Amino acid sequence: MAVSEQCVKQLKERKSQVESEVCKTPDADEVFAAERKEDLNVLIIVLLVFLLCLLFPNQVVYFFKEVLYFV
Amino acid sequence: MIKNILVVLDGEEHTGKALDHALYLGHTTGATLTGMHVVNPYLKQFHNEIYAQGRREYLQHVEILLQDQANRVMERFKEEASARGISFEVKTRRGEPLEEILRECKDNRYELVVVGGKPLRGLDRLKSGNLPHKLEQRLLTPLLIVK
Amino acid sequence: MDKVRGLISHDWKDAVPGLLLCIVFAILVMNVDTLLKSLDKAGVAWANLVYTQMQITYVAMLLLGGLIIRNVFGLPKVFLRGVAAARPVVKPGIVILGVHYVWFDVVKVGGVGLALTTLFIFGTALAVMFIAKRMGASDGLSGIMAAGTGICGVSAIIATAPVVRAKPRDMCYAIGTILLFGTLMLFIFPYIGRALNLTEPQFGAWSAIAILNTAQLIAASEWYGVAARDTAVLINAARIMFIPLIVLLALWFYVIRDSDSKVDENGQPEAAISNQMASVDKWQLIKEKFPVFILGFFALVILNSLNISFLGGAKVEGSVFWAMDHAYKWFFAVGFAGIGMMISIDDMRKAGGKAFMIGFSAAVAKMVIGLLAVYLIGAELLTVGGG
Repeated sequence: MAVSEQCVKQLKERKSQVESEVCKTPDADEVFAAERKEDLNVLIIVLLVFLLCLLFPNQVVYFFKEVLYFV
Repeated sequence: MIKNILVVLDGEEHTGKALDHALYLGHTTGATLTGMHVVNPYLKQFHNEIYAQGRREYLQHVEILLQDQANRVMERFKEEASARGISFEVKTRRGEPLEEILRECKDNRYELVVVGGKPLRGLDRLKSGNLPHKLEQRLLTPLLIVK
Repeated sequence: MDKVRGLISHDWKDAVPGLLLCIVFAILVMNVDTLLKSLDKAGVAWANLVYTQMQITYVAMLLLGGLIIRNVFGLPKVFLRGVAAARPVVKPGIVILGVHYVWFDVVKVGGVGLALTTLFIFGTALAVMFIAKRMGASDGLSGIMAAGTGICGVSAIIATAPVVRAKPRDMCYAIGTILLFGTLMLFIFPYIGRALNLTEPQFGAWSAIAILNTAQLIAASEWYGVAARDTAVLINAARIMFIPLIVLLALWFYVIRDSDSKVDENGQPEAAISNQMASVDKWQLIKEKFPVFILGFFALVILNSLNISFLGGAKVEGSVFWAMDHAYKWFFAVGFAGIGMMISIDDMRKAGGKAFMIGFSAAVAKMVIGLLAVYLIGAELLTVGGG
C-alpha cells in the first residue's frame, strides 16, 4: 500500500511537471482552445458572408461567378 | 584512433543490441561514448486535423509520452555506461531523427556512429522509413549498423 | 479586447504562404473545370472522356493534384503550416450549405441518417472494442481504433488518445491505418457508386456511413453530385455531434469500468489516474469536445425554414441565401486544395500492426453493411427536398 501511494505521488509530480512545461508554449495560455478558436472564426466568416450577401447580393454572385472565372 | 563514439538510442527493442555493441567498443577503445536520443514530435502535426476536438489535451498527452520515453532511454544508458566505467555524455535533440543525427555529426566530431536496425522482410521493406539505410547513404562518418 | 485577440492564432503569419498557395491552386482548378465542362458540352471527345467518363471534375483535380504536388514534387516547408490551415476552410462552406435545407429535411433525412449513423457508430465502436480485446490489443490502441473507425477517423483519435492513454507507436499505426483506408475509399467510392448505379442520395448516405474522415466524406460526396453532397452533409452534421459521446464511451469502457485491477507497464497502479478520470465532470467533457461551428449550420437551417421573405432561398434569384449559395463552392475548393496537399503517403506507410487488421475489417464491414442498408432504405427517404 505504501509503495503504491508513493508511486501515485510520483506520477502526480511527473504529470504536473510536464504540464507546467507544456504550458510554457504560447498556445496554452490563450483565451480559447485551438478548436474553439477555429470554430468561432468559422462562425464569424459565415456572418461576414451573410452580411455581404444581405447588402450586395448581386455583387457577391458576380464576384464568385464571373470575377474568379477568368477563362 | 577512435576517441568519440555516437550511439543513437530510440528505446526500441532492437536498439538494445546496438547499445551493447557501443558499450563494448567504448570499453575496449577507451573512447567517450555519447548516447543521443532524438525526440520526434511527428505525432503532434496531427493535432489540427479538421474537426479535431481537445487539441491541447492531445498535445500534452503526446508531450508526456515523449518525455517519458526520453527519460527511460537515457536512464538506462547512464546506468549501463557508468556500470562499466565508460566515460559518457548524453544528448537529446528534437526533430526528425535522420536530420538530427546528420546535424549532430556535423556539429561534433565522431569517429564512429552506432545505430540499431532490424532485418526487414516483405511488406515491412515498403513501409519502413529505414533510417539505417538512409544514414548509410548520407552520413560521412563511419557507421556501424547492429542488426 | 483580449477575447478578440484570442481569436487570432499567434502564428497566423506562418499560414499565409500556404493559404495563398491553396487559393491560387483552387482558382486555377476551378477555371480548368469550367473550361473542361464547356469543351465537353461542345462535343469534344477527349473532354468528354476526362470530364464525364472519368469524372475528373474540380474535386478530383484538387485532391489528386494536391496529392501529386505533395508526394511527387514535395511541398516546401514554408507552405506546410498554411496548407494545414486551409483544410478547415471547408467548414464555412458546410455552414453555408445550411441554406439548402428546411426542417422537414432535417427530420426526414437527418432522422433516418441519425438512426443509421447511431447504429453504425456505436455498432462499430463496440465491435472494435470487443474484437480488439480478443486480439489482445492494448487498451490504448483499442480505444483509439474504436473511436477512429466509429466516427471521424483521425479527429476522433485526437479526441480519445489522451483519455485512453494511447502509446506513441499505437497512435502512429492507428493514424496511418485510418488515413490509408480513408484515402482509398475517397478515391474508390465514387467509381463503385457509378458502377452500381447508386442514386445520389443513396451514395451520400453510404459514404456518410462508411467514410471515416469528415473532410474526405464531403469531398467524395461533392464529387459524386449535388444531391449526394446535400444528403452527406446533413447526415454528417448529425454525426459529428457524437464525438463527445464516443469519447465518453471510451472513457467508460477503458478507464472507469475496470480501473482498480490494473497496473501499467512500470508496475505502477493505474487507479490513481483512473480515479482522476472518473471524477471528470462529464458535462464539462461533452461541452469541451463539442464542435461549436455546427450550430451555425442549424441556425441557417432554421432561418431557411422560417421562410423569411427578405432572406429568400437558395433558388430565389437576387436573394441573400441565393447569393450565399454561390459562395460555398469556393470555400470547398480552397479546403479541398488543402486536404489534397495534406495527403502524405509517408504517413500512410506507417499503417501496420494490429491497427491495420482492425482498421481493414472495420472498413470492409462498414462498406458492405452500409451499402446493404442504403439499398434497403431506398433513395426516397434520403433525398433532401430543400423546401
